[in-house]
Amino acid sequence: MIPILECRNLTKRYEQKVALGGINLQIPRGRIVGLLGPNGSGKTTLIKIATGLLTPTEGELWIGGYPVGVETKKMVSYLPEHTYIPLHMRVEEILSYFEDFYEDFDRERASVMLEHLNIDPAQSLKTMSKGTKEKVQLILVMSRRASLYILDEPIGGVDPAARDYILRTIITNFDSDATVLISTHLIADIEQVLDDVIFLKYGRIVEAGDAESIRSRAGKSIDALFREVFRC
Amino acid sequence: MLGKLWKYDFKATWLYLILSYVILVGYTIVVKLTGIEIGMPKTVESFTWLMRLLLYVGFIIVAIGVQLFTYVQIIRRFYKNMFSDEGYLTNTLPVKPWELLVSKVLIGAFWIALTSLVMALCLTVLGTALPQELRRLVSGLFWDVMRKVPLSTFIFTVILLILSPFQSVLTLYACICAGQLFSKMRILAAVLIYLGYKVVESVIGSLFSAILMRFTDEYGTIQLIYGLILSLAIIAGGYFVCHLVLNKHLNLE
Repeated sequence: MIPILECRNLTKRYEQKVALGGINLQIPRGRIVGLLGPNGSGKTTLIKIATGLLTPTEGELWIGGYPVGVETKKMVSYLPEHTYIPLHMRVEEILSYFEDFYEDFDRERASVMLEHLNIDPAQSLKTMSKGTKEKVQLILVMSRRASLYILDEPIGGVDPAARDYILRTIITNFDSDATVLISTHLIADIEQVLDDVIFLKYGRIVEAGDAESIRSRAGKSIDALFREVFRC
Repeated sequence: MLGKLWKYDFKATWLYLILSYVILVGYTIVVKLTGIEIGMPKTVESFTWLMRLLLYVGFIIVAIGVQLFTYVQIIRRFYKNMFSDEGYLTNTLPVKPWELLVSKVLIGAFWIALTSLVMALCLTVLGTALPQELRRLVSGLFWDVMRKVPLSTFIFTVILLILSPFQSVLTLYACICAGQLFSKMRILAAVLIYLGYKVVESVIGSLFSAILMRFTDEYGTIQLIYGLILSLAIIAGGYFVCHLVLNKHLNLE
């Protein structure tokens, strides 16, 4: 089966700095994958290339057998690190927005999740707290029946209860043959849900594979291994 | 998809712009209802003359304000929706970059054209406050020119008027996009690029005008043709710059 995401010699340079250096990677379908690394390791650069927000200097990235473009944007549901939904909109308007542009958007699913959180669809996004906005964003992203979900630091900057909610939402709302790629440096909270992990350091892959195999081989948790690999 | 993009661009921009038109039209109606005629005062010291002057100066200020506000809203929408946090949503929509760009160009040109139309209507209403002799003179001059001017000159003028909003919008957008090529101070870079472009445009425009003066007829047909070619070139160039940045050099902060 075609991997959902494939990188071939993927490189991104900014003047003197190499953000990604010749990444070769295949991510299979139906897995929850942790993209792990400290700040500046290239996680967001890789994600931006995968979502079409950046063009590589060299190499290629393919999603579901397509080069990054309109077809891949139909397949990818992306949650960036910060609030990206227009704040002047009300919740019901942003639901209509997603419904208009994404054929795979399940409005019913989104409405149910919003109701569970007691979020009024008539409420304006700019009147919400940061945490509530992030939950609305997550609901929008996870309400798409995408082939690949890319979540950039979905649990950073929120309280522990919200983190649990976010992780539960991620696990219970994606289709079994879809892949979830989670970029984070908060390993301990997310480790238990990961099937595979990719460690990025200075724009290169230093470790990649099945999470359980890595734990057995290293004789320690992914979190402990991360601290060892990325010790300052 | 283009229709949907335009719908959301319109929804994001209409409220404050329509409000600004309401203010301008409201002010115009107030001036008209005061019944104050434009014309030379009987005595310089008269209070009526002063009121008249203040009201019309006020109209000019409000009109310029509405014009500037329109440009600010267009620039703000483009920058915010394409290159700020909202850009992470806009640029990951399953639409082609040219569709995003065309939608923004159409909404920008729409509002510039509508602002011009509203101002023209307000000026027409205020024009009815001219003394009758002056109104007859202006009207007479206008129809005299319309009868004598060649059809080609008229057509070129109309085409130039239609292209003008697109030229303005694409110039602004291209400067904003060019600013995105810098790693820091992108807004400042965009402003400086725009100012630099305006200087170059002014210098080249003056040079060509001086040269073409020798060859043009009494209606400035050659200059109109030059203006048309220049306008099309600027529109094409602006579109090219924007498309290149959005397609190949996008790098949101």
